[in-house]
Amino acid sequence: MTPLRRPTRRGFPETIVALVDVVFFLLVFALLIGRMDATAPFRIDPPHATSGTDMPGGGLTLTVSADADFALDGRSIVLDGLLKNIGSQLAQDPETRVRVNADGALELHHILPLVDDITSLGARDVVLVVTPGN
Amino acid sequence: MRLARPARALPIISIIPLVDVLLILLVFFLVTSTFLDLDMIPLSKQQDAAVSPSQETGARTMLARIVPGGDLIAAGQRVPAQEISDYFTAEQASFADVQLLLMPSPRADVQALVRVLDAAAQAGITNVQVVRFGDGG
Repeated sequence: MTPLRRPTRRGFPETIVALVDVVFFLLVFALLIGRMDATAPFRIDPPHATSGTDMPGGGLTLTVSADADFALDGRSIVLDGLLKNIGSQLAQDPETRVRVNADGALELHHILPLVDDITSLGARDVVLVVTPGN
Repeated sequence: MRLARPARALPIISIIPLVDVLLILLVFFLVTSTFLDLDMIPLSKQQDAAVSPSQETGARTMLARIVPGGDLIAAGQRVPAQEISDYFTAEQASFADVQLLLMPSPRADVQALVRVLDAAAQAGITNVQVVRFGDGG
């Protein structure tokens, strides 16, 4: 008589519903907590400031590299086209915020006249983007 | 006699592909995102605030120049970049009601300007304007 063998006991099937919950929660968290912004085609190291205030979203983002390359909302642009583009946006909505995301090493003669030009186009809200800290 | 057919079982939908897709999306967002904590400093005033307080109240105006390298020249003395905050704090009484006109050198960098604006804010100097005279030197 052959000895009887006990069938191997199967473990409890592990549910992956909890994993789905966690992954979905992380995904929604990442989408909510982040703000999607177009990144410039060049590297930017904004100046550090301790007196900055929270920056709300929206508006135009003008990025200026340390070598005075310009980008508007993530796309490279030359100075003439830049002012035309900002001017047309301001003509549609004069309350449009213009965020100047300039590299900390950029010399001011590249940026101060530009801010004046943007203000003269009718911009009422021009802000300089800074990084918190010293 | 009628035979009752057993109810056909619905096919089981596997959620494993859903988990895969979600995980891929999550990893994609985490890898491609750049997490930045950004603040702002206003560069322009509203149109209705075009009249400066010094014109309204007769407050004194003090001119300070930011030179290349970040040093400040104020009241005839040169203040090294690292000591601007201490200088404004020490001179807080004399700066309390003044309108601070900053005239940065065109060759000074953005960080130098922000450093001075920071120091002025820490010392309680709220009326600061940046002026420029041409693009030379």
